[in-house]
Amino acid sequence: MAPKTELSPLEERILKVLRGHPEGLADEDLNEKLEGTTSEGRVEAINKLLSIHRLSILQTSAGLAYKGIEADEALRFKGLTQDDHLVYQAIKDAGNKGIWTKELRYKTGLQQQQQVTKILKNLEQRSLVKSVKGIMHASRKLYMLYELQPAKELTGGAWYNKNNFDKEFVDVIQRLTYKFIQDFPESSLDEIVNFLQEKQVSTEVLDAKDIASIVRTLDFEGKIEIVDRDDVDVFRPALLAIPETNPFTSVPCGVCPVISECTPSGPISPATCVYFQKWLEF
Amino acid sequence: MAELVHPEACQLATLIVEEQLGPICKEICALLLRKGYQTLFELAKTSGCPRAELYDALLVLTQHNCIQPFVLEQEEGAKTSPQTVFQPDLLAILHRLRSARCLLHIADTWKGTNGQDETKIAEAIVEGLLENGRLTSQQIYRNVAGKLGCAVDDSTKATKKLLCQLISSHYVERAPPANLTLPKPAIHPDAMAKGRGISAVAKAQEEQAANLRRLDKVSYGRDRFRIPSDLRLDDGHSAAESALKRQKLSHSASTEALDMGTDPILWRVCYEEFNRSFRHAACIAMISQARDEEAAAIASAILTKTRHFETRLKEQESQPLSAAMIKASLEEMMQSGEEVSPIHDVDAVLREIERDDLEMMTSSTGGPDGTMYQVQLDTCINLARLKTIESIVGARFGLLGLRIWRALFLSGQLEQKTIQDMAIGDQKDTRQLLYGMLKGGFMAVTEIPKSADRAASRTFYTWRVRRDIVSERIGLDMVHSMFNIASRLHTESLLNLELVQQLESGNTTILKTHRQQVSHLTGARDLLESSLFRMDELNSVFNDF
Repeated sequence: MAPKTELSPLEERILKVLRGHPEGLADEDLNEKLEGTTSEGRVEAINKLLSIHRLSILQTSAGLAYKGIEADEALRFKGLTQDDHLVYQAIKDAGNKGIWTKELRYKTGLQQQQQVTKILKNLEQRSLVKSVKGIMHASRKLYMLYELQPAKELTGGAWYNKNNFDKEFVDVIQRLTYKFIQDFPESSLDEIVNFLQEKQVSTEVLDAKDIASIVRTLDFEGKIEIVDRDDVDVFRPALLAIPETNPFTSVPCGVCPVISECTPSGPISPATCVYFQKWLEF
Repeated sequence: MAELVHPEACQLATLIVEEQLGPICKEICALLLRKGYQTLFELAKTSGCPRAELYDALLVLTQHNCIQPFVLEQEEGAKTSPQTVFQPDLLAILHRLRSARCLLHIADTWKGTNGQDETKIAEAIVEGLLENGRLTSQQIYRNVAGKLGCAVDDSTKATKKLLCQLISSHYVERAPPANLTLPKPAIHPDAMAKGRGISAVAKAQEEQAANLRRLDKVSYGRDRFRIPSDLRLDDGHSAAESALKRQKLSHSASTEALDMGTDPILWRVCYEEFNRSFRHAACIAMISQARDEEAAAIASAILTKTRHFETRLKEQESQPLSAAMIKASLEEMMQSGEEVSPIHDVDAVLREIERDDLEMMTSSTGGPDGTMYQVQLDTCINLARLKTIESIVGARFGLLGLRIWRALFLSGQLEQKTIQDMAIGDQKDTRQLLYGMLKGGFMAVTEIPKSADRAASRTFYTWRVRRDIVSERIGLDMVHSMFNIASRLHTESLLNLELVQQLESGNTTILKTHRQQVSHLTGARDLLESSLFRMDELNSVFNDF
């Protein structure tokens, strides 16, 4: 519902100009378009629009810029106190990385946790902010603007599903990628990306960076090698694979977690070792 | 492993001596390994053994090359008799585990060259030396005749010939005399005295001793594989050569006289040469695995042809050979009956070698004989070690652990978050594995504090892999594991001592009632002994090569 505040012709004119520039308009450009108006009149109109939240100021590389706010959107800010705006601004500054309550209190100077909680609840009800949980600190709520998508550092990227690491998904992509490299040795990253996108293995789009990280894990597992062909990295099955077992890992001591504590006369000794006992039971 | 005097290695050596030479030798050996070199008086005092038993134990240990005596020089006019110091030879004791492998190697090396009979004689010579430690040539003839079941006179000629061949091939060497200068004792770097320097007199004495050691090394090096005249004269072909050479060798007449009978020469197995052969075999196996059998055959041809140019065990690379010489070497190997993969196009394989990304074999151009090829022995061994380490990491810590380890190995120093992203792992699992690998000695962590108080919340922690340290740690763990296996084998035998004794006496009544126990004991011993054998092969890659 549109606010009932009446707008003067100059104010209407300013909003109309700004509607044509949704990304914002610099101060100088706005003054050019408002020919025939006095500077005092413009200042008064801009201040009025700012006070009723029909205008916001942006800081750009070229200086200050103005951005118009539609009436419906401005209604969401109606009735907000100064503290509410302070909290909103701090959340807006945090961008898509979010901010948690402790940091909010530090930035806004509002010491009372109950006060901050009340403000956040109010802002959430107005759909101005939302809370998300990151993978780094699963118990910590982070607040960000409602319309923003959380950063990859919070969600974990393509390999996380609802903040949980999706091991099966990673394994599937790895297996498909390795099979492709085995079938087509010396294939490039673009070829692998095209193959996986054609396969449509994921509802989420996997970009080249995600696939490159999968290919890198195959290199780390010793399954493939990265070779330079005419300044382009191509991938082939490894010439020298890592053996799954060797004489050392075939004996209990090779995989023993307490070998450093094993002594002939100690509580852990070869004579009394349970791993040896199991190994020799046949 | 010359510098490796670690508790696990000493424990393993002591166990080997106990198993093979008895408990008294074990006590003396353990004492020497703990204290370094000791005189007879010191040994008698610390061991508490009766004199007669002590003498016998020292003789047995010296006979089996477990210790080396050094007669200390005395000043002229000294009234006391010269002192003898006994030093343990840890490597020689540990190499006793390799006896079966050495015999197998002789059986394979001599297989295609001179016929089955000569192979048996060569095996018998080496077996006799491995069983008895040190033998004179006469003792060798008698030992071989006994093993072959024939009269001494019938086999002496052939035995002499094979003995000469074994000495020329460096598989058998002269035992070092007792009058060599005592080696400089190994002192841990942290034990060096700080501040006060050594006196000028001590410095001069040390310099003199160092010069004497150098002279000893030269003289023993000259005599070590020299075939004495009594081994050469009976062979017609050699006699003609010897007659011509005697004029040239007139300066060594006194040494010849010594060879003939004043001091009998004692021969023993030269483990260094066997280790060299095993090292070559390991390199060829790596090349075969990474490339194919044809490349491995070429590597084998290069190493066979250039063996004589190697002066020490741990050569970095072989001598270069041209394509023509490689082909000639392959031809010689096939004609001598050695098992070599036939190569249809040697030049094509050599061209592939020039493009080898792993650089296990390299080529160089610009020589008068065209492109020269050589085997990078160090690269092959390092690659073998790396693959083994990666296999161990994968077995102990799983695929994610392997990804983390290799990510750090390839990328250098990284933070935990970066490692987690690169290895695509869960945060909790990644942290757990990093600390697990840190505890296991597979990686190191560095603190980079942002503030002077080094508070944990204001400190970066970066992780890294130091391959040389990991390699050393794995080598030690392997020796520890070998001791554990040998110890368990000893325990299993002791637990079933009565049964073992009855087995050896062939008491069939007991065998029926204890069938299950016998089956378990036999199976356990086979498993432990075969594991020990295979572990020694892998251990040599880390500690000997």
